[in-house]
Amino acid sequence: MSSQYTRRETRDDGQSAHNVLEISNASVAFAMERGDARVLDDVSINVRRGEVLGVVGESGSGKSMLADSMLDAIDSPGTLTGDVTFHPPEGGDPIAVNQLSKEELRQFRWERVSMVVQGALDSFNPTLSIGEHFVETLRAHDYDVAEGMERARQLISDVHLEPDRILDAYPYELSGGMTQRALIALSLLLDPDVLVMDEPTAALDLLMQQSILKLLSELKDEYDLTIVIVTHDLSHVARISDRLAVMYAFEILELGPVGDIVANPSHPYTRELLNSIPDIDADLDEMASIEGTSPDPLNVPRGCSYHTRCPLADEQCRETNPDLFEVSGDHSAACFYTDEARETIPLKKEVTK
Amino acid sequence: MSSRPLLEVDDLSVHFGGDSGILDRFLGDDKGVVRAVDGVSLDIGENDVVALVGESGCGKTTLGKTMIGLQRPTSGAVRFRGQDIWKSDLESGDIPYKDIRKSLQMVHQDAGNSLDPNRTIFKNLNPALKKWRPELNLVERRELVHQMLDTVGLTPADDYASRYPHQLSGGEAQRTVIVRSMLLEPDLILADEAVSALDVSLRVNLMDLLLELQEMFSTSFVFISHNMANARYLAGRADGRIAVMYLGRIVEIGPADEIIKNPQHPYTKSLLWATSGLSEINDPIESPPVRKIDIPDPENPPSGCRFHTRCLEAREFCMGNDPDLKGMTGPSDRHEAACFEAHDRVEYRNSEPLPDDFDDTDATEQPAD
Ligand SMILES: Nc1ncnc2c1ncn2[C@@H]1O[C@H](COP(=O)(O)OP(=O)(O)OP(=O)(O)O)[C@@H](O)[C@H]1O
Ligand code: SF4
Ligand code: SF4
Ligand SMILES: [Mg+2]
Repeated sequence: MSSQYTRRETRDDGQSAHNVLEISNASVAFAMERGDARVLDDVSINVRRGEVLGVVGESGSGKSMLADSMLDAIDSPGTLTGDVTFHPPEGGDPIAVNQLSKEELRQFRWERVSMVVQGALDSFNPTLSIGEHFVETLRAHDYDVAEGMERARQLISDVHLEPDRILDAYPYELSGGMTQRALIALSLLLDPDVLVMDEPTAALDLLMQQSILKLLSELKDEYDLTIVIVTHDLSHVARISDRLAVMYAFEILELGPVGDIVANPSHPYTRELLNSIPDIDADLDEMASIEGTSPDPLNVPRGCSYHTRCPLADEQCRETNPDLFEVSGDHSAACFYTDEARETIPLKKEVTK
Repeated sequence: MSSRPLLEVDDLSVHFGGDSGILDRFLGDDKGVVRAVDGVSLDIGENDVVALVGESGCGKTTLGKTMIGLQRPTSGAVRFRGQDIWKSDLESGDIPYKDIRKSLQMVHQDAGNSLDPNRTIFKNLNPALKKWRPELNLVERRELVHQMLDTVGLTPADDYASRYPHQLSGGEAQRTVIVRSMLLEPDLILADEAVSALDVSLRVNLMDLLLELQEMFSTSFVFISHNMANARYLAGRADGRIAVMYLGRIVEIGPADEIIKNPQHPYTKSLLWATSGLSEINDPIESPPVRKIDIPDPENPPSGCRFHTRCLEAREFCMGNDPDLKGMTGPSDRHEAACFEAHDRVEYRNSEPLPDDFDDTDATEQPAD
C-alpha cells in the first residue's frame, strides 16, 4: 500500500473463535446499461458472537448490500465476490456461505442467519393468516409442527403480542408495529444464531421504534442472538449497539465500539453525520444537514471517496484511498487526517463515552 | 396574527364506518365505528405554524385532511376566513369553493409516488398551474416553475424541469412536490410527514427550506409528524405551536418550546422520551414509559381518559372521567393539556393508582357512576 500508514487489521481478525460471521473482501456488482455498478466495494468485517452490530449510513451507501451479503442473498443479476464464512457457535467446521447449494442456503437462512428485510411490512402473504405463515415455515423445514407452534406462541408473547389473536389474524388486520413484531417472531422460529435486520423500524413512529429496539435487546439475551441492525439513523441504533460500522459510498469508513464512535468520531463523514441529526436538546440554530450528495455507484470518486464533500481533502486524498487504520484499540477509521478532522469539524454536541 | 383566524376548526369529528381503518377489524368487533377525529377545536392564524404530533393511528392525517377540505367531517365545522368550507359551493356571495381549494394545499408523505413517472418535472407541475392560474401563458408558467425550482435549490432549473421523477433523489422529489404545492400561492399548506421519509442527514435542510418558503410567502403551515425533534424544529423556528394528538383528540397544545421543555401530559412525555437527544445516545436502552406498547383499538376506545390503559400516572378516577383540554397556569397562557394529574385535580389525587399489572380488558365498559 502506498499510504503512509501501515495497515492495521481490526483486532478480532484471526480470532475466529469469537466471530460468528467473517466477511472478507466482499464486493457486489450489477451490470447496468451505463456500465458496471459496484455497490459494495471490497468490504471486510467480522461479526462477533453475541454482539449487536449497527450498520449506519445515508441512503444508497450500500448498507443493504452488506446485509444481504451476510446470507448470500444478493438479488440477481447482482453478483457477490469475496468470502462469507459462518462459524457455528457450538463449534464444528466453518461454513463457506457463498458456496452453499440452493437447498443448503435455504436451510442456512432460517436456522443459522435469519433476516428481516427492508420494507418488510408487506412481506407477509395477504391471503394467509399469521399462524399459517408459522406453520408453513415449520413444514418447509421438516420441523415438528406442534412443538414448533409452542415456540411460536412463546416468541409472539415475547414481542408483546397475544398469540391467540395474532395467529388467527390476517396481515391487513395488524398495525405496522404489530406486523414488524410478528415478523421478528417468525424470523426467530427456527432458532437462528444471527438475526440481520434491515431498517426494522424506519416506517414506524418513534415510540414503537424504541419499543422494538428494547424488545430486540431482550430477545438477544433470551435466545443468545447475535444481531446486525442496519439503519440510516445513527442516533437511533446507538443505544442498542455494541459496535457501529459507518458506511459511505459502498465502503465501511469507520468501525468501533459505539462509545468511541459517538464520543470520538474520527472520520470527517462520521462527524458530519452526527452533527446532522436533529437533536431535541440542541439549540435550534446549531443544526445543519450534510452538504452535497453521496456518490453514484457508476461514478465513485477516485482516491478517498469522501473527498468531494470533505473540507480537509488534499492531493493525497484525491489520489489514494485510505485503508481502515487503528484510531485506538478496537476503533478504526479510513482517513488520513483524523486528528485534523477533530479540529476542523467540531461536534455540536460533545458526548461522553 | 390578525384577529380573525385563517382557519377555525370547531368541534370537529370524523367517524369512519365498519371497514375503513387499519386496526378497526382487529380484535374481533367488525361493527364498530372508528372515531378518527373526535371533537377537535383548533384555530390556525395567518402566517401561523402548527405541528401535529402523535403515534400512527392517532388521527393526525384525518384531522389534517379534513382541515383542508379533502375529507368531509361527520360533525363540526371548518371555517376558512369565517366561511364553512363545506357550505361554500351552496351559498352565493361567499368565497367560491374553487378559491378555497386553491388556498388549502397539501404536500404528501410519499413524494416520489405522488409524481407522474411518465412526465417530466415541468409537465408534472404544469397542469395545476394551468388549472388554477389560467391568466398565465405557457412562457409565464415556465418562467414561474423555473423560478420556484431555483428557490428550492433544484439548479440548474431548466435541467431539473426536463428530468423524469426517477432521475431525482428522495430529497429532490420531496422538494419538487413542495414546489408543486407552493406554485398556487396557497394560504395554508398541510405537510404530512414530509420530512420523516427522508434520511436523517437531509432533514434539517428540508425543514429549513420549508421555513424559508413559509416566511417568504407568509403561508400558514400545518406539519404532521411522529417525530418530536422535527416538530420542535419546525414549530420552534417559526414561533409556532405543537399539538399532541391521541386517539382522535388533542391532548396537549402550546408553544413549541413549552411543550418540549415543560410537557404536562403523560402522553407527551412518553413521545418526548422516545425522541431521546444526542446526550443520551450512549445510555443503555430502556423500556418505554407506557403500560402497553400498542395503542388501543380505536373502534373501542377506553372509557374515561383515553390514555389510562397506557398511562403510568393513571388512577382510578381516570377510568371513569374524561379530562377536558384546558389552560395550564404557567409561563404561557397558550399552553393547554387534558390530564387530571397535570391540573392536580383533587379527586385524582385522592383516588388509588392503578396497579402495575392492571388489565385493561374491562376498561371500555361504562363505569357505574
Ligand atoms: N438491483 C439493482 N441494480 C442496480 N443497482 C442497485 C440494485 N439494487 C441496489 N442498487 C444500488 O446499489 C447501491 C447501494 O444500495 P443499497 O440498497 O445497499 O443502499 P442502502 O444503503 O441500503 O440505502 P437505503 O438506506 O436507501 O436502503 C445504490 O446505489 C443502489 O441504487
Ligand atoms: S482521507 Fe482526506 S478526503 Fe478522505 S475523509 Fe480523510 S481528509 Fe477527507
Ligand atoms: S388523566 Fe389520568 S390517565 Fe389520563 S393522562 Fe392524566 S393521569 Fe394519565
Ligand atoms: Mg437499504
